[in-house]
Amino acid sequence: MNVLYQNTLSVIVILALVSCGGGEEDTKKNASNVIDVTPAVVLEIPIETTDELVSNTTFEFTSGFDLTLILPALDSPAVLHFVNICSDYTEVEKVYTINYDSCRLRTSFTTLKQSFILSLSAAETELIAQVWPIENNAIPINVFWSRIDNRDVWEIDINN
Amino acid sequence: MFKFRYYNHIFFFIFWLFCQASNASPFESCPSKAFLMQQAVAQLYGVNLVTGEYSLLSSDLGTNDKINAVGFNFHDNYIYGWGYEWGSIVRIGHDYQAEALAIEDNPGVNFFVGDVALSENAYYFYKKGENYGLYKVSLDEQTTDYLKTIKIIDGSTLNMAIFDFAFHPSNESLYTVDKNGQLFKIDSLSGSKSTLGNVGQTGTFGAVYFDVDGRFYISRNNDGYVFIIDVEATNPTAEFFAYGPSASQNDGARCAVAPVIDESVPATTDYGDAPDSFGTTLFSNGARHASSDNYLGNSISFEHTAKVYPSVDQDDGLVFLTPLIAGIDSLLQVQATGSGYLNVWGDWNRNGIFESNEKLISDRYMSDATEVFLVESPFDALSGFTWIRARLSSIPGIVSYGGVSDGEVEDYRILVTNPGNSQIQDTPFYIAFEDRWPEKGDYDMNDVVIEQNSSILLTENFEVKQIEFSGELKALGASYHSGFAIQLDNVLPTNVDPALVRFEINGVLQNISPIEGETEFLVIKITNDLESHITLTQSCEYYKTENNCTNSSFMNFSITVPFIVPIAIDTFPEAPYNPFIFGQPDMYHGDSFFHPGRSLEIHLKNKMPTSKADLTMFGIADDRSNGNATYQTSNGLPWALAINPGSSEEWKHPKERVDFLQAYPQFSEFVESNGNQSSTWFSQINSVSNKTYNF
Repeated sequence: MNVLYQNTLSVIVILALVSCGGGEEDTKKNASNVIDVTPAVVLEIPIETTDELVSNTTFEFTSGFDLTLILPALDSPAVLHFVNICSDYTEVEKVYTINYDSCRLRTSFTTLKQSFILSLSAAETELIAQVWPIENNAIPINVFWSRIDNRDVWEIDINN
Repeated sequence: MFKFRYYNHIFFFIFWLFCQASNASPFESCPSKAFLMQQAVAQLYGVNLVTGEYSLLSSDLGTNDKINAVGFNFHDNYIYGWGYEWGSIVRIGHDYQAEALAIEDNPGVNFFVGDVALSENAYYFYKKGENYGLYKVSLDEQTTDYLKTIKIIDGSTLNMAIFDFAFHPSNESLYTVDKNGQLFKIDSLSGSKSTLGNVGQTGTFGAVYFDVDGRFYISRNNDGYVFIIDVEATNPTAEFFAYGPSASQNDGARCAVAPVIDESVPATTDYGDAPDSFGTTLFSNGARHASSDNYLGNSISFEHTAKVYPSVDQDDGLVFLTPLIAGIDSLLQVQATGSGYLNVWGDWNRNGIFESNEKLISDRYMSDATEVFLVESPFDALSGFTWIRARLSSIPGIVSYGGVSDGEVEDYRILVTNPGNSQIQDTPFYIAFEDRWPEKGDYDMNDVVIEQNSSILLTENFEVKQIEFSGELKALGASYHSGFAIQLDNVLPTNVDPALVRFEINGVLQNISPIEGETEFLVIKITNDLESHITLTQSCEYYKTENNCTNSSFMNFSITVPFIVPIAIDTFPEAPYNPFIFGQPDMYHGDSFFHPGRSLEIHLKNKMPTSKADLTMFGIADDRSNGNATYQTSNGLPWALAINPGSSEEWKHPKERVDFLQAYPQFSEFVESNGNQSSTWFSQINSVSNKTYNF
């Protein structure tokens, strides 16, 4: 326990002792209660500086989430299909506008099933998979993932 | 003879009296725009030399004939020229009405080559042939030779097939380009000429101008092309500058002491924002467009001077729906407001220049539409990030640089991949350092803050063939000098050919290799001294950590590292990899040691130091590194954090000397729960806004 923590605790305990009673009589009457109340006050002490923080030796202070993404094999595709997996997008009247800088994966579908592990930020709770047929006047297929119940596997199916 | 001269003087006197009766006021200032006189019945246009954009100033100059040989008089702010209707000099004021001036000893023919000097208040005009030559007329009423014609040299001695000339703003000489492209310099005192060389363009250059910096502009009648010439160059050449108005008859005038950009009025020029090697600024004859109703996307911005990467515009016309895949089709969405021809270039060989054959789209006509195009980049396009430039204009066939009178230019930094490759882009990390290691310091975690983005290219066999880092220095709240590097743990440096590594700082290709030598594992050294890349403002001690201390300087980097042998994804290190700061040689870095230099490294908690770190520093002061438990205090606190807020928002670092917990109160719960609670402690909504630095 470092010095600052000890000092802070002492000040708070003293303040608790001084402020708990309304007067001398009450103080005496509830003398034993002062001791009882103190631990509760200590528990409510908010840690105000990093000096008071203690961390596990192995904890590396990172937060995130690993998502396994599975892309299906495309059976004899007539046209190449490409997919963007992105986290930052907006929707207005079923039109999706994507910040392509937020795409975590950009790849093509192949005749083989593919699996990728995407490391997401804890703040990235929703993803869009925008699948583009590589052809003129292409119209994308949009598929969505949401981090409900820590669902950590997302299998995209566009064959149907 | 005497009789003729007598009558001539009477005529001059009556003409002078007539002219005095209609004395319009001059222009209010020396304008940045050039004047262009055109048509058989004179019409006056204003031309923005930056873009070539022009507009009719007056179609009624008070004459039914031509006016030619015009020049702007810096001494009285009038335009002077030769009025064919009167066979004499005319003066044009701000009402755009020509006033004829009678001149003594009028040569008696019309002239189409003329300009007004700067070092003296005099009009010079020229016609070739032995009966004519180079003349001057004083425009200074205080001189005894006011409006008196003086012949400087005859037109057989000074014999040139020219259509206009202009005075240099500082050396008193006239410059002109003849129809064969010969550039001449004429001494205005003697009339002697010197040939400066062939500028490589031919035609009728009916309007020529100087700007205040001595750059010479020549406008070709038949196509309106404006070229720029450095008349001081050993071999001066005419470089295409802007698409201007064409005309069968053309004559130009300009106030030579005016800059071409008038910053006293709102900006009307759109520029790109790619690194300047691509031609972005006006100085580099960059791509630029005058304001108009046709542009890319939903909006367009205007600037007096170009922003250059890493300072960028908000472009919105193009969306790369897929990366550009070398040799096969990719999808590009383009939105055009208004109509025009779309041209798109790509720097396929990544040499910092858009070559004329590096085209992705050529003259695709669009009109108020959003279209998805199939585009094919060449099979030999180098993989990695490169620059794309798109220009929309009503003029077809434009090049990647120079001015255009309408439309817009947008520049994009875009990934090029190979067929079968996948791009995995790591979530952005903000790497925040406390640089007082091994002392704990004030724990404001803003001594060095770097935004670090990374992406890997995977082969179809799920092997990493290339990694790309890019990032930006976000804060430097340190008095110690530190370098910044990233180690790829367990990746051998011998698996990289340094010659194939591409390294840019602030968009400028670096000549030095970022691959550090003599290390056990691959170390990518971005800089030896972060502070050397930024300029602190006068009243600020640190970079972007104090109140009211904004700073317009940037430090931005980009590195592409291809691997000789692709590395299986399962064995490749994970983001944020192993970024670290290190000490500068011969510099103070705390009281724990004397000038530790490169051997002092500060890493994220439990990351391995490089083979260049001095491990004897472990355990000093507050450091309690032990085995694999590195860079942590006795409380397990680190000297560096890797924060990944996602792509939707930036992470805001604490202000100077603000304890980290004061800025991010939920951090304590996150730490004490080993990351199981308050996992989004770093988001802006969870920060104390007056404790964090606001950009």
